[in-house]
Amino acid sequence: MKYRPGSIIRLAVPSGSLSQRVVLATLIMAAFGITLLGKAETDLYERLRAGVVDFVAPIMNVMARPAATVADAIEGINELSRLREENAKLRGQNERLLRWQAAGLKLSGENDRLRGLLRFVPETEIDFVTARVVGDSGGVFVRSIVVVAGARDGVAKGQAAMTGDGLIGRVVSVGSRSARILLITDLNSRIPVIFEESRERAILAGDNTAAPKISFLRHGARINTGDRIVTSGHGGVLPPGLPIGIVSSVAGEEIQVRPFASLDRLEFVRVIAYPDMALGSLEGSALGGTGQ
Amino acid sequence: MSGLRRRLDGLATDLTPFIVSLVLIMFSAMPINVSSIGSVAPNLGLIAVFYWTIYRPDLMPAIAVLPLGLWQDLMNAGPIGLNALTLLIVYGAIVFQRVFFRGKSFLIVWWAFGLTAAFAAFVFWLAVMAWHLRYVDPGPLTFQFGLTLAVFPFLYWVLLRIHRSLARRA
Repeated sequence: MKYRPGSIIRLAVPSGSLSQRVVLATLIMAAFGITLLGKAETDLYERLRAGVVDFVAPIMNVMARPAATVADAIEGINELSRLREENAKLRGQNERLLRWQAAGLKLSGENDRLRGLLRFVPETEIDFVTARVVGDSGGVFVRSIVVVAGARDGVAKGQAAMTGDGLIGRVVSVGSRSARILLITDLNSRIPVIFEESRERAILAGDNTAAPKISFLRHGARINTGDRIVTSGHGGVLPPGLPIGIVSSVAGEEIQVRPFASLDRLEFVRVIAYPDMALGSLEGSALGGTGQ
Repeated sequence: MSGLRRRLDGLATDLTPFIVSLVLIMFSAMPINVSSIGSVAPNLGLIAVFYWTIYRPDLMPAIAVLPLGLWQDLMNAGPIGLNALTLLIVYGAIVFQRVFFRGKSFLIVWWAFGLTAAFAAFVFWLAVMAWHLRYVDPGPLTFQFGLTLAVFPFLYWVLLRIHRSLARRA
């Protein structure tokens, strides 16, 4: 017998009955109310969301593995075809890096000696946890990810998240075993930054495109394409000096930044524990100052 | 004993569309790490709600759409309620039009889904702008629209399988 979905429809509730319309209108009003409430009760909603994400994170963690495997396989095939070319490039790069390493070691030694001369207060060691990315926002207008590391692993709101390449964002909500990270490209992301060469300070503001923009830059500051941008550490939330990206275009007032980290394919990220230590060291140095 | 079992079986059947939609929405929030695709995922929840609203409206009442929308809001990181609001409005548009879909060919259903998805994207876009009180670039949304439309035939086939197994059990 050929199956016809139509026959089921005819048995179903007649469409558009009055009570159905009333129910629907009520539910739409309810959804509207819930949305409005979110404007006022941001905290409650964030906690609710963190709880729910906490609950589904282990499930997503399991599901993310095969998904990652498939993605890896596709990437693997792509990479195989470029292997020879890549190899030659890496050889060249390796040679250059070895030269840099020699220069770096020399500078680092020199730096240590000069610090010794200046009695410079050493920066605190940075502690971090590495976590797997199990969810991205999926939302069209939000750039955020979910990682399986939470309060029990030492993750706290405000901490920086990065890959080996550079900063990717900040922790915005924390459950006991999961956390959500707002990427630097998100509409709501604001990161205090500093230009590595010119030492100009500014704010890096996301706008949901792949290239966040610079705002609150001193009038008359000279910025060029290719300038490196790092976290400034102002506000004490993010450690200073984390690499973020380079200026990719300057068009009048509009300065775009291309992040070092590829934000569209994150698998593991490092969450950096810093705030408490930063405050601690600040207090320490302040006390040291009065003592002298 | 067999009565209880039949009742449980019936309950499982009744809940299937809802649970399938829940799982698909969760799938939408999974990371896709293929660079060419980027971070926008197809709106699988919309496809599921569309399908069940047309073919088993008795198992996808409006009261089930609200939690599905909220679930989508919780899975995504945007303001809570916007997806729920959009999904309910779109549901309203489908449920009163579904007589039109009776016995129509797949291509027509696909085309109608395209209209529905475009409408959903538009409503959601307006809602997001109203929430932020600023202009938001609809680019990613059009990309998601295309992706959702492309995924529709595959998911339709999967949902049809599930649907048929329900029909056999009932």
